[in-house]
Amino acid sequence: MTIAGLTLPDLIGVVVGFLFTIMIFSYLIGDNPFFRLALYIFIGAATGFALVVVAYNVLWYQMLLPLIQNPIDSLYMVVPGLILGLWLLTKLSPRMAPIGNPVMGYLVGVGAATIIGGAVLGTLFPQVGASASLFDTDAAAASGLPVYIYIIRGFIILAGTALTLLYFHFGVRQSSDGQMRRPRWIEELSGIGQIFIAMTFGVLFAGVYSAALAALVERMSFLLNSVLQFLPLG
Amino acid sequence: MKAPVSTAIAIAAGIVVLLGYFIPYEGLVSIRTMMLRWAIILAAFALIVGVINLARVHVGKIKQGKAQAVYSVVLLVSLVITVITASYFTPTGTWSLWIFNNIQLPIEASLMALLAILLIVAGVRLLRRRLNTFSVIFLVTALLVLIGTVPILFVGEIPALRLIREVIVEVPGVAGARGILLGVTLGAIATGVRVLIGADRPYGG
Amino acid sequence: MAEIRCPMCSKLNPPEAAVCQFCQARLKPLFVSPFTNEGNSRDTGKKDDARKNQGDSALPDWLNELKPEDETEYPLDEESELPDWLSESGEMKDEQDATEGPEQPDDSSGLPDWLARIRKRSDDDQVDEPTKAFEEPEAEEGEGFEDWLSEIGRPEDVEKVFNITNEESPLGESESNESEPDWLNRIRSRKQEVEGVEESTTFSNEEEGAELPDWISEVLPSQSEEPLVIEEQPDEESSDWMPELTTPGLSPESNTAEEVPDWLSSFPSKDDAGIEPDAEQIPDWLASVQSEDAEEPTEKEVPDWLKDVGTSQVVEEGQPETLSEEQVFEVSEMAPGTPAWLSELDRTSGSQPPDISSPAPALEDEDIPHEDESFLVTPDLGTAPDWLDEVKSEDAGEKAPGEDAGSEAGIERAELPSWLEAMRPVESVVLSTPIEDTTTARLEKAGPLAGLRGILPAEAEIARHRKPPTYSIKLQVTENQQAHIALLEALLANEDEAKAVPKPQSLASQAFLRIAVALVMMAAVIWALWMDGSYLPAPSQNIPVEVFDAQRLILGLQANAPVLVAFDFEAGLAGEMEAAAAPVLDQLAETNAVITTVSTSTSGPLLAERWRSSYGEDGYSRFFNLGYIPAGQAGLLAFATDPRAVMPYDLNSVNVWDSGPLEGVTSVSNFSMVLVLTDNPENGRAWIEQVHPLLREQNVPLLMVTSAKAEPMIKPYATGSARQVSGMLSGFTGAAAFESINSGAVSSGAAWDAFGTGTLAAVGLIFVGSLVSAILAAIAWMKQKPGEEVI
Repeated sequence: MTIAGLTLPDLIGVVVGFLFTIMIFSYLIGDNPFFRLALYIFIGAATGFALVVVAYNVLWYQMLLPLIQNPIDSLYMVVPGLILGLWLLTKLSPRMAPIGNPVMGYLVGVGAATIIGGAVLGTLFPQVGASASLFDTDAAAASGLPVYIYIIRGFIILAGTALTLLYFHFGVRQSSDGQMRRPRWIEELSGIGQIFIAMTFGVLFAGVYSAALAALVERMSFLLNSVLQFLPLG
Repeated sequence: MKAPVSTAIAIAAGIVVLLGYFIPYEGLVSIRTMMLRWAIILAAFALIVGVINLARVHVGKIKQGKAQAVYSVVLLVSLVITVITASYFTPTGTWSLWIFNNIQLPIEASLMALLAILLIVAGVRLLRRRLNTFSVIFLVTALLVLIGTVPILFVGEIPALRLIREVIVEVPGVAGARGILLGVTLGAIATGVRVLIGADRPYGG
Repeated sequence: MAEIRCPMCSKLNPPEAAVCQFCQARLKPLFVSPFTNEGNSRDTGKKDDARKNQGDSALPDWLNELKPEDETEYPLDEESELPDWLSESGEMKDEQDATEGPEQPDDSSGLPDWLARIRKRSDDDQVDEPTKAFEEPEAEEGEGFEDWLSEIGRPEDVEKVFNITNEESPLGESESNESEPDWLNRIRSRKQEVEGVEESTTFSNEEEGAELPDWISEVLPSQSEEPLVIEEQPDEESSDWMPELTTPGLSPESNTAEEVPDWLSSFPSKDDAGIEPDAEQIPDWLASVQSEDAEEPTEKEVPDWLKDVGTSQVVEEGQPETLSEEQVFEVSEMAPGTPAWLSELDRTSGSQPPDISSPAPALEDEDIPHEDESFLVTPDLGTAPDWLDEVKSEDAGEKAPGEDAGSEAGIERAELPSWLEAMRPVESVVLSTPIEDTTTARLEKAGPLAGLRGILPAEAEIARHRKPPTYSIKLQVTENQQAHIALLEALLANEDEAKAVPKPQSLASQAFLRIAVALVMMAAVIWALWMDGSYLPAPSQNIPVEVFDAQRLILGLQANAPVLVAFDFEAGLAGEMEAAAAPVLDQLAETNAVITTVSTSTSGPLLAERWRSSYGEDGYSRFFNLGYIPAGQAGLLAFATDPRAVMPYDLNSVNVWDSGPLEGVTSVSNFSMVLVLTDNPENGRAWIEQVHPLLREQNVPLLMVTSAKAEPMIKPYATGSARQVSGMLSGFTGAAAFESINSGAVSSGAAWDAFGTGTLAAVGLIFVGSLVSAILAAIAWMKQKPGEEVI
């Protein structure tokens, strides 16, 4: 059975989607129960999906299914993992929560090491190298820009990077009048860095708005299509 | 020192994983991979613990009979239904996708769409709340980037605006973003090192 | 009976105790001097029957009285009584008279000649009435001995008494001892007369005919020892005790033999020029009277005790004990009655020579004699003899420090006699050795040295009771703290001040603004969608280089190439991301690429499935959905290192690694391309940091399709010569640009129009609204009153 070319599930889905969209947009008037209702439903659904996806992807596909299909090879991985996982469940109880601290410590330690390694090898070194390559004349030629333009651009980028970093230097020292303040040269240069930061935030704002506008366009398109689908407007 | 065992485990595990980045020894890489897989399993269990805790909190609200308890009921109902449906029909099953496409996605997209309107309202009131040089620079930059993003209606694409937009994004935008990235990276390194040396013990130590 | 106080630890003990219960010191002396009183009281000329009955050679009472018993051990009284030893001497004499016969020399007949002469001289010269200390006691038999002390008047009197010519030398040896007292000379002369005395006598109370006082008899050695042989010459001024000093040989009446007290036996013996007694009979103290030619620097032989007593100068350290002529003269000016024990005591005490430049302070309970005046006090004694008190009271002269305390305590100051005053050292003498001023030193109140100042404490520090230190309770506030206090007070004061209540913003105005903006935006978007016309051209100029690189890389893919696609965005931006990724994915699908999807987001697998199902009519077949990778960057690293182990199955429970297009894939670098679809810069950075190092080894390109909001933070990775992101598309604009360079037209025209319209509407709204807000803010700022806030 189709209605307006839509099967019943689809139709219900459209209706549900439409309703939820309106419920969310009702926030423009102000906070209201519809908005909250839609919000709590969304949280429940999203949480449920997350739980199921994790259960499928990790508990089933990475632990139980390998244990069933290839128990010997999977034992060294599955059993310790299972033990650690069950050990972590002690965090559910406030009284037994301290028992799970070692497992949390293991998780935090691995995560911290991953962050350090990635930050050093993936961002710090490459980005510093990229700042140095700003004055690469070969790249200037490849970019099609005049060399002097390329050099000037590189200088501005390099200065902006350094001044932005300088702005986040908050080390103070006691001045002659007893006040704790940053050195004067840092104060002056950090003002210029603040300009670069303001411009970067402006670009970010524009990007966020663009993304939100795209979502708005998509929702408006859905609403419009939903209405047009049911309205015999031709 | 509180929780010495947890601290020792955190430090030891972190050092082994970190060494794997810099020492391409095959045995070390194997050990590191195994440890990372255990971390994946533990992360999954951590998410399960979080979900269970969320459910317990809302169950507690329902038991207490608070005014907002109806929303907790709605949440739990939605959670249960989703779990049951997605478990039975697999996460990529038809009905799972139906819930995703018609409930989660519309709501989430609507929230993002609402953000667009609220951002405009915030931009309109920015100078009224904080009229200073940096606010003006911020707003002018945002407007220039936006206006250079798309062609002008009924006018078409204006190369100058497009060029301005690209220059702003690729020069000061990149400079500031790179500086922020480096700052964030350095902070992440410092935070990680503090964890590895035991100065910070967020795991309850 | 009263409890006995221990002289060592000053603790009370039962009266019957002989030894102290606490420190085991002896409470009762082993031997009791006939002169000691039970209560150690100093009686003025009183006789103690108890002492009469004492047969042992106890220390004289005046010795015992000098021991520290309590704080009132030095009661000074101007009307001080005669020293006990003097009274006792009288008593002894009475005893002797009672036992031995009425051999009681009267003032004129019984006294030694030298003493009698002293008295006579004093009467002739109208010497001031003797002080009370030298008051003649009641005329009793045997109590005229103190007359000699009365002779000790003022120094000028002494000067007369001790004539240089030694006319009336007490010793009678004018030829050799002109400055010596007459009595001493007489003693010497007697000694010479009785040089051949065979019978040695000892002094004891038991022997008959002994006229010497007991204390003298104590001094004199036993029969086996040297008896004291003193020539006794009749002298009207001789004191009663003088006959007692004579040995039995010299004076048959006095022949008592007593043991020599320790205090007297400790006195060094000195040669006496005038007396040559039998060596066995002469006691030490008297033997010291004998002159030594080798030691006497002066022509006149002066007894050492006189030299020491009469010196007016402090003997410097290193100075020989011999005295100069002046000193000898001064010594000789002393009253003849000054016993030799005075000088002996000075020497044996080892202290500095007495400094009598200032009057001796009155001895009080709390006033301990200065160490320079130690000649007045023996080491064993706690009190000065009474006669000395009387001497001091003669002269009221200068007050020594501490005398005020004495006077304040109700004790009248003793006046120094003139002769004693004359013996004061000259004030102009500069002390060679510094004298420690112990007047402010701690006063010892316990032990045998009680009453002295400047000595080491007898009690342990811990046993001394001290007043606990008092600490100031006043709060010490520094200047910095005061500044903080002032600041805090100012803050608190501001709390009480009524602040201007800001005008509350109307909620309706906020809602109106939101609604208005929403309506405008929706209208613009809906109008553009409704128009469904491509009136906005696709971007064709100033297209970022990354877009061209992405196009190049995608077009360069081989057919059936395994491509890893990461759906790392949220459902809320599905509209933008699907629109932005559609051209790229469509391009990949056209090359028949094997698309393997993973996600670090829980909704990623669903979004991937959503795309797969929307592609075409039946969806895209060469598609493997591996699912969700937990643990963030750690999971990414694990997957990048060993994807087979981390994701052995896809969401359809199919092992994609053992067969099929992914059979040869063992690492992420085995893929032809990695395409990351993300709306979060953090997710993009995670892929770049963890996965790209492995891709770089195999030159596997990393492409990214990002949301417009993630573009600024991902852009630095995509620029530069050694960029980590090979190609990048950002949002609607990137997709439009990609389509523009790919096909020249934007596939999603209505959406692109709506996006453009919405962007322009937003720009217009922000511009106009900011302008109006700025004008209103400026007006409000100009109207702003001081202290008000502009809302």
